[in-house]
Amino acid sequence: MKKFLALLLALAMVFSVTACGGGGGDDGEKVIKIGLCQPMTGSMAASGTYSKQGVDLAIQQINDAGGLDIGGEKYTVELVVQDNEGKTDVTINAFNKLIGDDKVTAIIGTNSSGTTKAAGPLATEAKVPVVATTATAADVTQVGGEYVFRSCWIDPYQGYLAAKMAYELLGLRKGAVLFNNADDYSTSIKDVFVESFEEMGGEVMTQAYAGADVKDFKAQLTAIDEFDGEFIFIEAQAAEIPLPIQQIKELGMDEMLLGAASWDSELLPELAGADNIEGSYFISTFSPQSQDPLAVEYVAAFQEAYDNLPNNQSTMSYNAMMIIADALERCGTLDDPEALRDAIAATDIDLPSGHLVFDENRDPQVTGNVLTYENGTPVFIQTIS
Amino acid sequence: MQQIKKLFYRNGKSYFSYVMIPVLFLVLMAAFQLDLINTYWQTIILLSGINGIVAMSLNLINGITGQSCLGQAGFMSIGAYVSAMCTKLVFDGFMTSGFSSYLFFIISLLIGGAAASLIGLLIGIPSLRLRGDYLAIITLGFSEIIRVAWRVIPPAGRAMGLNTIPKLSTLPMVFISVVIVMLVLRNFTNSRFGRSCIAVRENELAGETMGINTTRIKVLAFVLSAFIAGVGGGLYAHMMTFINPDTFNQIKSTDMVLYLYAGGVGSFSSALLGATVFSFLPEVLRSLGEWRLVIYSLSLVLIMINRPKGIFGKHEFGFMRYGEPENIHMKAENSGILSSLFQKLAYRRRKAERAPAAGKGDQ
Repeated sequence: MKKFLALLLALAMVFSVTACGGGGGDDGEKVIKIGLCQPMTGSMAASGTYSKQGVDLAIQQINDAGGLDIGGEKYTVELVVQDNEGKTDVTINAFNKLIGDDKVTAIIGTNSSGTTKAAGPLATEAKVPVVATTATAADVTQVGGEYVFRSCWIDPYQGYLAAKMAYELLGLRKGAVLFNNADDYSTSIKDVFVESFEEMGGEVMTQAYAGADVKDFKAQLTAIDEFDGEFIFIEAQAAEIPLPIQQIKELGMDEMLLGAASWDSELLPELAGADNIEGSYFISTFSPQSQDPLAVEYVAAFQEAYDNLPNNQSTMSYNAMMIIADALERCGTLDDPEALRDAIAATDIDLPSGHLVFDENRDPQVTGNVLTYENGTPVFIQTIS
Repeated sequence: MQQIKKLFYRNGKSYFSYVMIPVLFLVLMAAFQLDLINTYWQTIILLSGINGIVAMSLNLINGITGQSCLGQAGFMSIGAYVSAMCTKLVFDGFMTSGFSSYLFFIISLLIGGAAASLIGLLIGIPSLRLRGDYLAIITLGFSEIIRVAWRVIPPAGRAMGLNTIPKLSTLPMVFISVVIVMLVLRNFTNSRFGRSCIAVRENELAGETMGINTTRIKVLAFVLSAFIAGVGGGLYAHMMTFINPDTFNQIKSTDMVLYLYAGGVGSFSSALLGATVFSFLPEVLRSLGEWRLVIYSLSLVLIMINRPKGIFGKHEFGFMRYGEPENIHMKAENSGILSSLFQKLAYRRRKAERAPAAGKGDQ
């Protein structure tokens, strides 16, 4: 019995400590609450941590500059974080908590298409705008409803940018495609790449595919080799790219290698071999090497705060916070969710990753970056849109 | 409390719990309708009811029949997908008014449950001839097969899942489903078949010598359990309005086992209460951030160390015992962490009352 009481008391203490932490610090200042819903635990916990770093940096910058000016009054921004464990049902609980209990003005998150699709309709029903960070599947904003936005590009758009890079920037005219037909992400980007590339006047000579968990790509690669094209566009999840690259080099093929955002991985040079990817080109939403003055400033601030370079997730989260802050200042009121939604839809700002406006589907029209691997590190070439 | 309870005694039976069902329903209904609790807590209440249904269905296999099933999420997903496809694709045109949409929702739930029980029959017939742990492994594998199958079936939306499912799992639907499931399980357990299930649990060989076709009984319990889990899955799909194959992964099955064993295996009421407590706990602890999962797991370990019987033991609600009061042997046999705590407190109080009296006698 005593043990039980001791346990209860310990729990009560933990609660009171957190309560103090949350309640202190507002001396009559006006506070605006923004929710962040990301996987802080579970298999995608790293992604949630990166996201929070980006948002924290944005909020720090906003508050250091004196807060948000909404309708002539200054507000400081307070972040409320709810963990979704990367699960759909927990995301729904977390969104309900943010909307019903924490009463946030807007929500940032989540990082995946499935969870955003699950919880998006809730937010639309409650008229709380959501800006997802890296939910890239094409239909996320349609399913979510008219209050769901995102700061990242969508999968098909990536395919289009990759085709443009191949045709216009690199001057390639004919090549082959290798993709994973068991994966939604891979297939949808591949479809748009082929379609756009042929529309521009190029020729995709063959489309080879492998299923999930394939380790030996030699059969597909030999078939591609027979066509003798100028390039191979390899589109798959980050973990599935290194093996085909290694095997291409083992077979002595000399086509130029192209890729999409999944190539932007710190582990790729190590896993695929830095020599093997030398001179390959890929597109990415954001490059820390970008020469854009806003990007340079952002990367410096991020490095100062966290001692490492910002990745895609941090940057998209930073962007999401900046989009919301910008819309709040333009809308000038906190009482009208429809005005806030319209303000977000009318966003027209410069962000570290480039200029951003939303289209009629609430998907951003952003610029992409073309990068190439030199000595195992990605080197920024130019932006593309 | 005791005074009120006494009001409902008739012929040695207590009707208190029967009366409490509509009272609880009205209280919850009022709280929902008048917005005394916000949508966040409303969702969790509904979720704990649905988890309770699935945990109770699991109790039929694990607690009553003494087999071990680790694939309840598989049955749940069949019920969820089939009923969601029914309401979204098949009955969509009929669901025009409030009444007809609930009518077709109930039909869809039953179709979903029937589909789940059909699959339960298919895997039960070959696998329930086996004894012991083999069934656990088969059900584990089966739920993974189902999950992969949904990924390749086009009407189920493949890896993307189904979205914009109509939100029909309201409080009355979930509450009434819980009550009906409990009554069905109560009557089943007290029937000839249910008693045979208990015989299989206690000693399969002895049961067989008594003339029970043990395989048939196990399949029967398995099919009924799959049906109820399927209905639970259907309710889940129409509450979440979005399902994808990964919603029903191994973690979901494990969660159900957890609800059952933390609540108290062998009792339907404890399964429901366990599901309620452990659906609420992670949400109550939400303010602790990442630490909540540590405390959640720690509390589970503590519960299991203290009492393998779970928080609520094998006690049942009064109406699950047809109003028969628990005798002293049942009380001892069924005790869980909570009831043994109460017993200890009552014992101390009695001792304290007796001690001064004894002291007076000495003088």
